Amino acid sequence: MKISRREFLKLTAAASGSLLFPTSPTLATTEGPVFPLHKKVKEAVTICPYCSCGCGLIIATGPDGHIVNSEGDPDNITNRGALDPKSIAVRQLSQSPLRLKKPLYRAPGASEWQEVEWDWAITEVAKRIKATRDATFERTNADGVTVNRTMGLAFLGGAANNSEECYLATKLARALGIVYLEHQARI
Amino acid sequence: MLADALRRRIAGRPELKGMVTPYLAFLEAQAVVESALVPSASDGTEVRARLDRGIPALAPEDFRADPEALLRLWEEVCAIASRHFPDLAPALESIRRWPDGREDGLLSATIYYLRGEAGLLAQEAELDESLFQFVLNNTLHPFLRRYASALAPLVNLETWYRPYCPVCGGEPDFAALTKPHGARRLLCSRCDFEWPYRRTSCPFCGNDNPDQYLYVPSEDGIYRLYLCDRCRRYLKVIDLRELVEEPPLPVERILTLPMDLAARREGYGVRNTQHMTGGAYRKNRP
Repeated sequence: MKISRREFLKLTAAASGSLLFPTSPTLATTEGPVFPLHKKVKEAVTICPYCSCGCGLIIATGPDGHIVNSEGDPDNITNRGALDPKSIAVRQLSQSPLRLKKPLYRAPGASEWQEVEWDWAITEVAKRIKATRDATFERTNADGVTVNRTMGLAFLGGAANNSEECYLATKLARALGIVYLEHQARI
Repeated sequence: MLADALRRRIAGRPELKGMVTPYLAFLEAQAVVESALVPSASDGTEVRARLDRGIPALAPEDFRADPEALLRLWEEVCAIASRHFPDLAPALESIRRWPDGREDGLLSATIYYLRGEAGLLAQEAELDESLFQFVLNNTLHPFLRRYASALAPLVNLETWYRPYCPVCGGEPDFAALTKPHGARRLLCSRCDFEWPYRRTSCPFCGNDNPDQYLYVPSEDGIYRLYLCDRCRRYLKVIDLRELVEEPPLPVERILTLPMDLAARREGYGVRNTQHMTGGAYRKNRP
């Protein structure tokens, strides 16, 4: 790409700092090295969804929205840019060919997993929670103290849950009478 | 040293030779002055107190330099620029003559420059403002570099996470992503001091919206041109993780002139005060 003399003269007026742009006719008409402004990359900061450490990540995406790079966020006070192997491979969450795109179900006694629809899976989970709760709900304990609990269900949260999700999950678990309310960080 | 480093780099990049040769002459002239400088002693307690309040270490009115050495370099910078940019020779001659008859003209200009107000002097004297700032920058560079090395031990880089230079309050005009984890280090456009700053926000306006602060990588992945669509400024960055040896950033600033041209051709680089919350330190900063 050629840089015209007129263009160079125009750029000269924008000199700043310690740099000034060439104006000599020879330079202005000579093909110089050009830095192509193609493929802009976007960088967004986020938190690793795996363990409970909450390491900061920078996810870079190309013009097509696909992830082109992931790395530790050097400005995050938790990890200062350092990552463990799982976090380093975090982009596989989006790009791995092995990524699950539908729920898998293994029926009682079956040896194989089968793909099912989300609507079926969610309904099935709800039905089983209801059945288990109904079968195991205790209004009082052996001493007659009101407890309103179920010992047949447990709830496990994950590091990827945000505060709002955790609030809703806790509300749901307490409403069901769950006392085994745990988080991945403590196991 | 910087001139030698630039010479070595040009040897491997002949296509850049014509573009960067003038800067070799500037660096050589600055090196002669810098080697003879002895920075004046600073009161460490006072400097630390300034830094604790977010005020750069060097108070503009505390700048000291031999007026004759300043004037000699001022004239040499004008002469070198005229030689390499003949179209600008008449404007440079007016700038060269500007200090004539002014008592401490350049020392007072330095105070204006450090306050980010040198443009006022140029306007008053009807000089080309950007050219005036360019000559001032290249004249003051060796003096401010000396201040930077003298004051560096007093700067706590862990706590200075501001977008302006902790030594002189200048704006960055280059940066590096450092080993091992890619933390960003900004390079001061005035004194070449380097300090860390957040990587994902614009140091000129604080914009951290990923949709408005993007970068364009070089084909070899070594350089990045960060573009802010909010304030329309840009920052050239080198990724040191891609290199075995760390090159001097002031030399890289010059070698990346094609990045400046590319950004300016797209309309980036024009100062837009509407969004200027970062960049250079200003006295009225909240």
